[in-house]
Amino acid sequence: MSKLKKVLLLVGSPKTTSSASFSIGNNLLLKLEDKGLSIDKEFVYRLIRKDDGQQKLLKKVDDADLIILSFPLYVDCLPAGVIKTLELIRDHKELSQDSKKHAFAVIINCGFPETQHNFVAGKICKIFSEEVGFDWKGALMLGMGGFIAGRGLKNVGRMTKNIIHGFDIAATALAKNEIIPEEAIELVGKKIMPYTLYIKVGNLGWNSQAKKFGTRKKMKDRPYL
Amino acid sequence: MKALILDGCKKDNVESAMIHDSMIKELKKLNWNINSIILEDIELAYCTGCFGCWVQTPGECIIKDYQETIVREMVHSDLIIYITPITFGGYSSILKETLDRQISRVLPYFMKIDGEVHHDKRYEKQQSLIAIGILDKPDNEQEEIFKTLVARNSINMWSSYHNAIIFLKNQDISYFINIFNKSVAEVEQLL
Repeated sequence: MSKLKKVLLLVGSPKTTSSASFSIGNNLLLKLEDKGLSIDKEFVYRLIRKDDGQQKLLKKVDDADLIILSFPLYVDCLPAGVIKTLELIRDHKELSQDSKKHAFAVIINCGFPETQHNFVAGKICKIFSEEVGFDWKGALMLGMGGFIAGRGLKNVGRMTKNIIHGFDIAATALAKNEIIPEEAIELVGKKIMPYTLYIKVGNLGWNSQAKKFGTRKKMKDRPYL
Repeated sequence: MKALILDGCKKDNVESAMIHDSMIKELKKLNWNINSIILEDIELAYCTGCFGCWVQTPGECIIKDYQETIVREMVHSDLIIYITPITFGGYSSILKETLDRQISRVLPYFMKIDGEVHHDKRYEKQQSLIAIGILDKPDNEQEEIFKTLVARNSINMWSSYHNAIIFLKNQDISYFINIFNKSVAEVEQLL
């Protein structure tokens, strides 16, 4: 297997640097940098609307040996901007003479507590990878993304120790151009707190956010009736 | 009976145009009131993930564009129909732009449905969902993913009924119409 030199993190959240997708993806990216790979990152929602942004994105993809796409689950699958990115890459690869076999891995996080909500999105990414001739390395998927967003993975504390350990294992494999081991996928997918606690904290969190906007009593409004 | 068609194909997609016209014809025969939206004709902003539609202006997206009309139409429809090229097993980006911004139709609050956590419903009225996915050639894996995705959407968006229909390029349109009409008959039984 050829050695990978350049890794590109594509962040697929419109919330860019304040997103869980960035926090999680960057954690894995820095581990790969520690292993001697050169790193780069882009935020797809900043690039896909304009031609020059799209060209920049495609050039970065062409240059990378390993592409890691980190995104949040939106309505059971990839956010529209991430699908647009994959469509752009597919169209570009169809026209390009480039036969480079890019390694490709994804990290998917959702706001629901259960990891399984991400499974369909993971399968969609694998199909994309096969269709454009990328070398599929696997999907790291986790629930409870809402708890990480805004705090950052490092600041959540010991609760994310499984995720961080899973990323260590994944980074070691990816740096050697190997498939992400099942052990890493399982560790990353483990719950970081009991489901009932997450639901309680989550629901209180929505009320507390609404309070800031003075909408606490309007949360169940039906404006289109 | 009110139907909303959301067409997420590019305008040069021959199959989509054929499906679209056939469905309108069939629904009209059954006295459905139809609103059809070709999404490529509309400039929609992407969802920014701000959750403003849940906490800032509950039930309404804070971005003011045509999506407001689409969500209003969704809320008042009995049947929502998606048309999309099956894209890596899922929806096209054109269709997904509007689907990402429909979450104001549900509440932020978590609740369990069949042992799995989802968002609670905002409106009492539930819509049926028929999703038509266009494929160049048979592909079991993509067809299965598409069907699962539609089923997952129907749970999260509180659909009263769902069906995913695969349309293969060069397929006889009358075969599709039969399946579609059967599905619509099932929807009508729920009304």
